[in-house]
Amino acid sequence: MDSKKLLLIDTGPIRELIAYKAVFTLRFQQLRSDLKFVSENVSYARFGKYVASFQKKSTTASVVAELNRWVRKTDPSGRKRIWSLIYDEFRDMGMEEQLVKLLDMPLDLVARCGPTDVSLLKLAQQQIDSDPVVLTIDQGLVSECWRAKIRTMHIQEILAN
Amino acid sequence: MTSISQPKSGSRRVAEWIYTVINPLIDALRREIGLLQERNLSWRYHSQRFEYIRLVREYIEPDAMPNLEDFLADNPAFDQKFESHDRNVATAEMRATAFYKMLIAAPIFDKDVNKAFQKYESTITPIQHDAPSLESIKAHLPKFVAENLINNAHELPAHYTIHSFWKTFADDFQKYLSEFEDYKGRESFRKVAQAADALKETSLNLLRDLESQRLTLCREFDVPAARPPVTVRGPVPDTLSS
Repeated sequence: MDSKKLLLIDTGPIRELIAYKAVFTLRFQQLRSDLKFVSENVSYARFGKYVASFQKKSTTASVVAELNRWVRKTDPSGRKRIWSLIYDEFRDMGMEEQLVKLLDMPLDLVARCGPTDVSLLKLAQQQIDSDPVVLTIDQGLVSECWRAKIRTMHIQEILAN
Repeated sequence: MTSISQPKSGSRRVAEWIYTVINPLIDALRREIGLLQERNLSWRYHSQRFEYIRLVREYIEPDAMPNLEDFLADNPAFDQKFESHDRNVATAEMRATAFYKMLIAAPIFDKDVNKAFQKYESTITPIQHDAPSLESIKAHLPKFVAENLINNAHELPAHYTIHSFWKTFADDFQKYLSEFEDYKGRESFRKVAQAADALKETSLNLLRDLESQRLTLCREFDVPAARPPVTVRGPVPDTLSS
C-alpha cells in the first residue's frame, strides 16, 4: 500500500521552488545564486513530481517567518513580487500551514536546532498517523529526524534518484 | 529672479533618476514582455488583477517617488509614454476581468467544468497521489480554469494541485473557448488577446525609449548605468581611535 500521505516542507525546499520560478519565469537574475539544488528544468520537474506524490503538503508558521528573513535579504524593489510568488505557490500546491507554539516545544531542542526545525519535528510527531516525511536541505534537521524516528528526505536524494 | 540650472557632469540627481526610476522600469518591462510573449497576463481571480504586470508608479519604490516626479519634470515626453503604458495595462486588466466574470456567470461553462471534474474523478485511484482528488477545491475549480485560460497556461508545474486535471483537459477548454466565443459573440476572449498584444507593443516601445534615454544620460552626464557598489570601510585601527 502506498503510504505517501503527508509531506512537511522546510524553508530550503520552498525557497528552491520560489527562486526557480523567480529566475526562470520572472527573470529575477539576482536570485540565481539562491538555486542550490534545483537549477534546471529536469531537476525542477523531478522535484515537482516528488512533492506531487503526497496527498497533503504542509508547513509551519515558523517556516513562513524564515521565508520572510530570506525575502528581506533581497532587493527591496522586488520583495512584493517575491511574496506574490510565495502566495501563488502556497495556493497552487494546496499547501497547509500549521502553528506550533514556542511553549509547546522542548527548550533544549529549540536551543540546539532553533524553533523552525523543532516546529517541523513537533508537527511530524503530532501527525504521526499520517506517516509524515520531512523534506529539507538541512543536514542538521535530517539528523534530528533520524533521532526522533521521523522519516526525512534531503532534496539531494530526490534529485539523485 | 529664478533660473533653472542644468545638471552637471557626474550629477547625483541624474544618477538617482537612473538607479531609482529608469533601471527598475527597464527591469520590470523586460519581465512584462517575457510574460506577454507567452501571452501570460499573470491575472489572478482572487485579486482580479495582473500579478506581475503593473502600472508604472507601482514599479517605483515609494521612497523614490520624488525622483520619478523630478525625472518627469525634466523629461516630460515620458509622461505620455507612461500614461500610454498604464492605459494599456488598465484596458487589458479590465477586459480580462470582464471575460472572467462572463465565463463564471455562464451556466454552460460551469456545466463543462463540472463534466470534466466528474470525468477526472472517475479515472483517479486513491493511491494515485500525483493525480489527487479535487473534491476539496471543486467550488473553486471554474475559477482556476478561467484563470488558466486567461493566462494561456499550457502546462502547470507537477506539484500544483490541478496539474493532472489541467494536463488532461487544457486542450478541451481551449477548444471550448473558441466555440464559446462564437456562441456569445460579445465581450470575447479575442478582445483580451488583442489588449495583451497592444500592451506588449507599448511595453516594447517604452523599454526601447528608456534604454535609449539611459544611454543618453550616462553619456551626457558621465554616470555609470548601475549604482556603484558601496565601499565598506574596515575598522579604525586602535592607534588612531584613542
